[in-house]
Amino acid sequence: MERVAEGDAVAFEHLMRRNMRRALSIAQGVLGNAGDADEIAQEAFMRVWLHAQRWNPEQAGFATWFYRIVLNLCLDRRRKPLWLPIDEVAEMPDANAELAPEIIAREENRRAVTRALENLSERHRAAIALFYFEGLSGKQAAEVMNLKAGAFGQLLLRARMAIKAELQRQGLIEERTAS
Amino acid sequence: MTPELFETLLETYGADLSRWPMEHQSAAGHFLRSSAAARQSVERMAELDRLILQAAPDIAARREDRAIDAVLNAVRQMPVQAPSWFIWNWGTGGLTYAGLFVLGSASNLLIRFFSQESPLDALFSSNLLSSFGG
Repeated sequence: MERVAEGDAVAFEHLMRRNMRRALSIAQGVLGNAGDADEIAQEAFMRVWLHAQRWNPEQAGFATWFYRIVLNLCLDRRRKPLWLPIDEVAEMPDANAELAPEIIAREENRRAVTRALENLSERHRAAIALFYFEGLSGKQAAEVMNLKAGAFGQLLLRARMAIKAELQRQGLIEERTAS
Repeated sequence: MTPELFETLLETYGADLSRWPMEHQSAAGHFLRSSAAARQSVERMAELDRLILQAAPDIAARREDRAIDAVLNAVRQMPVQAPSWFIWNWGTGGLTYAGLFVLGSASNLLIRFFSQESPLDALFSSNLLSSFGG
């Protein structure tokens, strides 16, 4: 990061190669569509390039600082519909293809969860994206969202409960899973 | 650990106990080994975890590369930004010269005030006289 702050484009490219996938994944997890996620991830790295000297390693690790940038850009973005209609998310696989029943079932499940995520607020989706999709610990995810660990736990719990209720409504999981 | 706390943590953090807050992991492990009902709950919750993970965005390497190229292109098109040490050196140098100029002007005015003629007047008048024969 010191080299990036000095304007070293090679160091900056290395930094991007290490973190671009995560930036795209978090943005897409929160916003729900690839086009917006691409713009957010690129904008986040432009901010890193322009403001690298603002990162203070004593306050937060680079990953936490960077994920905060991505997340704040996502939460600020309200000019477009956030989630694509479900039919635009992915094409259904060819029914004649090998292993088609399994693939179709998997795709149906994915669409059902996507539908459940659509109904969540951005903050709830952010909690799911950071904890599940990116595998951050509860503590790390709380730092990124600038929350106390307990508050993040509450956010995550509400998000999971809402997803579960929607999946139960769609018949994908049994009611007793809620016990 | 109470069954209620175990269920709450299970609902919050999912079936993988290693992802639970550190301070609860040991007690949760003991509780799980001692309770068949808890083991059933974990199995059921693992199904929800599996479904949620299926919705994780799949980021293709090609898309990642495109995004990196787009940022690098944008950076190359930006005006070159001077490093901070460069701005500091030239900034302080400029201030020094500006300060000297102000001091010199002020000295000239003071000398003019007290002597009715500044050293610069004498210099310029002699030059003008010699050049134009006045």
